[in-house]
Amino acid sequence: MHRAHGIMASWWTTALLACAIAGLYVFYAFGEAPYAVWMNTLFQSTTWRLVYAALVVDLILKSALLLMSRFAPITPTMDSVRSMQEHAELPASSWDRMEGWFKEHGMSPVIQGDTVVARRGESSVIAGAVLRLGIVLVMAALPFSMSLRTVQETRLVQSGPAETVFDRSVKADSVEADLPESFIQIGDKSIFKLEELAASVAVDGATHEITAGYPSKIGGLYWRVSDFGYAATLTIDGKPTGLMLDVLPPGRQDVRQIGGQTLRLSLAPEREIKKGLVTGLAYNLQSPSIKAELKAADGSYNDAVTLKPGASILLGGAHASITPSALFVKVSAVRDPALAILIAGVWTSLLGLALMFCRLFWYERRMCAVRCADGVLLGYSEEFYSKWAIHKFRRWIEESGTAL
Amino acid sequence: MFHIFIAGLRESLQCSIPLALLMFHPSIRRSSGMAVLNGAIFALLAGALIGKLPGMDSIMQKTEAWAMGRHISEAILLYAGVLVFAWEAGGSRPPSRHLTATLAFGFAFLAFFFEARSLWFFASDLGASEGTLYGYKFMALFGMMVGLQPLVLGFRPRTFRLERFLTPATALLAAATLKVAMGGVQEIEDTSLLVALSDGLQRFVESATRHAQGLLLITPHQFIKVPLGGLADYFSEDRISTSLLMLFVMTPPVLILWDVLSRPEPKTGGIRVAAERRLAVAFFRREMGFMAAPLIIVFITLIVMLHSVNASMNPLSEPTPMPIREEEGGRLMIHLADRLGNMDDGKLRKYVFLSGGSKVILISIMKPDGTLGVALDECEICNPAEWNTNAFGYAQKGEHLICKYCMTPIAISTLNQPGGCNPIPVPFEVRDDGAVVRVDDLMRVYKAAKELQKKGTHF
Repeated sequence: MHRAHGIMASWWTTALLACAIAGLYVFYAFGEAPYAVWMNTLFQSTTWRLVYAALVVDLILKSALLLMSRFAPITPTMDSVRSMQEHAELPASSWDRMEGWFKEHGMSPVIQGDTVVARRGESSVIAGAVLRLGIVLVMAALPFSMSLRTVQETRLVQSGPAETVFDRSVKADSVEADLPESFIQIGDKSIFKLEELAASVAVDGATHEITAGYPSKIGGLYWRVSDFGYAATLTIDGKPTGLMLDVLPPGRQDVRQIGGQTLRLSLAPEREIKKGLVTGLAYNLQSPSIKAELKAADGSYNDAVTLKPGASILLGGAHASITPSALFVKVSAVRDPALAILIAGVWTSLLGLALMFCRLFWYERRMCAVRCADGVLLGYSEEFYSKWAIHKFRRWIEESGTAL
Repeated sequence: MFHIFIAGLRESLQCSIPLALLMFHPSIRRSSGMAVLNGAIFALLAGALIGKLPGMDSIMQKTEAWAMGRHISEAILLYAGVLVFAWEAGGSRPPSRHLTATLAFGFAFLAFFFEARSLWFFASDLGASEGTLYGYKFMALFGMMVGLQPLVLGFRPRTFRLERFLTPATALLAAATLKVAMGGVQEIEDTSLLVALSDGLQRFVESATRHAQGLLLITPHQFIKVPLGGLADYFSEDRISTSLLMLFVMTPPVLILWDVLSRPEPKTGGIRVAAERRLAVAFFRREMGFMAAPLIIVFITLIVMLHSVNASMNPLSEPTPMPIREEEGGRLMIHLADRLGNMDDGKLRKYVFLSGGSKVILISIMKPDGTLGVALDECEICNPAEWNTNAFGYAQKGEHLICKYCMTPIAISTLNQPGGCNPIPVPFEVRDDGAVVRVDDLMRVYKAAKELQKKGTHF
């Protein structure tokens, strides 16, 4: 039992387990998709599950042991004082002045018989404990989140029909997207980034706002808008076809089969802007025009035509028109019993990290004195910066001179 | 055949000289000297014979497996010093003589094995092609055995007390750093540990960041801003992996150096004479200086190695502009083949044309589709200050041109297209032997660019 306690309390055990898990990644690092393979092995192989679980248990035990040892009452002995970072042997007469001397150096002494104990910053161990708690929460939630998570997605057209997600009726009452009326794009790579995207969604009749930001928890599920686009009705020779166009960001092409023909659709710029040698394209993203190209028999695409909302145009000999577009959103619903723990773990870890920075000046200082037959043995230790602690203690003793 | 002997000697010396540092330390020499020598000899033989073991043929074919083994072994060598340091700092009992000897054997084995295996591979290859297989193998082995001399010499007692400079942890770290810095056969067949580590960390950090985003349901999107998306992008960039690489490589020397420098000065309270007290402190500080010196050398060596890795991974190549003269008919000729070779090498060329008081710099490169791109070495948007001359124009980094002012990567295929940070295109005609630029066109574009720069062209 004592041996097991020693093993679990040792940082070597933690280092060994962490190195084993890191070593597993290194083993896969020279192959394809190492991260995914590593994760699969870690959570699906019995051996590695055990190693992983052992690390979690080790971190829990380590925190418990550290907290217990730090907050346990101290009973100084001659040996324990001698084993402190620095100690001094003082004449027996100094015992009477010991309490005052402790206070003079910023320590609050507790006198117990022939011993004096003073501690400062003993609660600094909490920083590490909080960090380890956060890591433990994340590590514990991770395998459950990965294995128990179920995701369902659906596309909801603004004011369109209801869809079913996790046996719930879902309907988008409105979609709010901060789309610019004039978006100017320079160069090939789109810089379009949508700042605000929210949908007012009725879940089983109750309306909630769901955004593309942090997920909203509704009825035990996490909801989030994961994509959006334009919903339009393309009418060719009087035959309407409902489309959810995947043409964002500007420049993206959506290829569709409509009436046995292949159409390549993309956003059409409203105008071209030239400033010196630089050319930009301006798109109206609130009421977009669609560029349509019909695929010819030889595989090439015919000249593009621009379908403006409400207007009719000839496309490959047929009359084509597009209705004023509405927006659609792709809504993701996630069932994940471990997500709350995971998020709690992340926040706790961040708090622990912040506290760990405080450890630069938040550390334990311990001063003990024991009265013995020959005199008084006075010892001092600091958790970090032992060199300066030792020098400081020596200076204190020298400065006290005959006062002690 | 003599050259394979020299190669063996060189590779062996590259391993045995660092290891000799261990032998120079009296406590290591006494406790583990023979183990180090045996580890080295065993590694030489194992490197030679491993191909003969059943089942090893298939593993030997996998370059990745060998690369992984080599890199892991080098990482272990670098961190062996930290292990010893942590053991001592933790107040644990000194390891038994057998354990120390086994670890020393392992250290020496790892330092030698991959070099021996690689050299043996080359010796076999050369020997087979020359028809004297055994001769080459013998000479390679002989060369490596001769190269063990520094280790053998390490057994001789000496008056120079190296332990003033080296603790066992420092000796291990210095030996490992020297070994990694010297390289080995890997320099012609493989990447270095630091390059592999940087690549691996980059892949890991990027994958882990994306995975974390997915787990927290804030999956990144191509055009929708998601919470903490900027932070995730920042984490996915190579600067984080570079920082982690720095941390990994610098931890051993910094940790041990910190330990050395944080040793308290000796107690001098009992010394009555002030001069003697000062002498005691001065002696202590000098000894600490001796102890810190090799660690500082290791630290500097690692900094240089990291810098060279960084430079090799992010090479910005910028050729010196070649003078170009006006030919008949007011034309400038950019030849497909010039003194730098053929342009199908995909490398950037720069030309300088002097017209009156103007110095016009042109760039040219063959695009991936085989067509030529010609442009001014100027960005219309970025207008560096006059004093910042190094930020003018473009350099090449792999498949991209980089605007040296804003460091924007520009796909080479988009050269000749105006817009953004692309170089300002210059009209040109293509001929069989290159591109022809009319001086009138060039000066018109150049003057227009200068005018726009004066006005300020930022959107």
